[in-house]
Amino acid sequence: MSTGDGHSQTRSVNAASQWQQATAALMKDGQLVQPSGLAAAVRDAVRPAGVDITIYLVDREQRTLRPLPVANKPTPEPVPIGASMAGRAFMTIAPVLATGGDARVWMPIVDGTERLGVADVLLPETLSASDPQVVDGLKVFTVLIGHLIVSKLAYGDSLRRVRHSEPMSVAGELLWRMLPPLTFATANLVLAAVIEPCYRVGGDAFDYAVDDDTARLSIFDAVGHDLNATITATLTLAATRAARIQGLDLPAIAKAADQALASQFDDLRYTTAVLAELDLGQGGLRYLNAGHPATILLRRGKVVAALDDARRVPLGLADPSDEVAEHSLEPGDRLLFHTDGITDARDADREPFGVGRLVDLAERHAAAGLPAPETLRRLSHAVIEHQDGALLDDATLMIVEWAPRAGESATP
Amino acid sequence: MRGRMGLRAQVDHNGNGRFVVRLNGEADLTSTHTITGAIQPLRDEPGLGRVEVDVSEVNFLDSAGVRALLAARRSIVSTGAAFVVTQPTAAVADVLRILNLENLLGLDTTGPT
Repeated sequence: MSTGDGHSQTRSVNAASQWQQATAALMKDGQLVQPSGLAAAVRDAVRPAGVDITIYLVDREQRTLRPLPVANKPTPEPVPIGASMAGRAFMTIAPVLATGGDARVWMPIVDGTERLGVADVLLPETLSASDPQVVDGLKVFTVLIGHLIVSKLAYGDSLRRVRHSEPMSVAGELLWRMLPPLTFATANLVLAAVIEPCYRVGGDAFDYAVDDDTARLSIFDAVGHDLNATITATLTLAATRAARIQGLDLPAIAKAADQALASQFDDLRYTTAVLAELDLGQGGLRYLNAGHPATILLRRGKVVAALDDARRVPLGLADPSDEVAEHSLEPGDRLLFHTDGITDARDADREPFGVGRLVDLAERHAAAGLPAPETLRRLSHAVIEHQDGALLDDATLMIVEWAPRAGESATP
Repeated sequence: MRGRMGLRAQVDHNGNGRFVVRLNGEADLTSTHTITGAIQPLRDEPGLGRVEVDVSEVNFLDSAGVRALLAARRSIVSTGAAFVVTQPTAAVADVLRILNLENLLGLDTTGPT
């Protein structure tokens, strides 16, 4: 049907106003909804348009999409991301239409650029999934669903529980509430991180803050294992964050962590870290390295530098150094921050995963046009599979891409 | 498996307040008490001037082992004596290099003398 068709235009106008009404209804009714009532509120808002929506949330390990239950309606089965239409929408961060029809569409649900899940949308005969107006209206409506999921998460356990395929450890509960979202993007920056094993985390952490023309980036690996390491990591995270918010420079932020750790523990525990600042206007990177594996700089598919200057001892062990290293990025450059749990993961023959494999996979996925968060999802699964499904150490990876329009691939 | 070998320590007094602690085996969580046990008595040695921890026969060092070395250093330095780690194997040198602890542990990187 051509768009010049008068009948089609009328339909489109109707479609736009129907989505506007649904969006307004959800904005209004969503204010008094509790977390467990969100799925029903979404369905109520689209019912007048004859639409039905089932919301799936991604689990912590990013392997399965899990449906939000709705009262008096059978809950569908969870769907694997790697082998489903819903999963394809999640992986590509783009709407996916059902084959052989225009009555069903899977729309990724994001909050900003953080991937939360997928909306499975059934359309009435009056609304066609191949009509751009219908899909545009649905996109806006789905943005609202994403915002509501994140804002309602704070007020109850039901949404959080849906995302867990196994019980979250005490360490995981402590750490996850401290971490920023796994993905962030602006016009010229994409940042994505992943941390495993996600239910039994140890001492790994990452952090970032993007303000004005500066992205402040950090990765941490606290000594030891299990809850003890997580306590060290979260204290390090809080100390560096407090110092950063005060506006202190990188060496002073490191010293704040030294003081916080030494003030609470007398057992020489430490956290290795890279603390960095990226100038989003000019691409200038400033960093220091506190006993941590070097950050890898990728340019046009090749490793061009292991950023290994301005070294000091790990955080927690006082260091008088005020040294900061500098490196200039070119548009399109990507920084790979990682902990040794990534590169040291060993297979049955004790062969380490290694930096080479990490870089190869990062490049292959990027060359295939995958969005940064999807690249990281696949990389972390490759590391786990290398170690036969169970990591012995925790492993964290953060990719930061600095490029004009870098953020566009991270939204539907 | 790591740790099965354990860690042994032998302490030699080389005169003039100079002690050498020779470690042999794997320095991890299961064996750090060996380091503590060898170091603590030295604090009471009259005229203690210098403690060298010879790690030429340590083939594995994890973060628990690193902390034991740091604790040994703190314990000795607090008496006013010097503390150095000497003759690391490649495995040990790699760990200490990534952590950037070579200077703090007074690492002798010139090899055997």
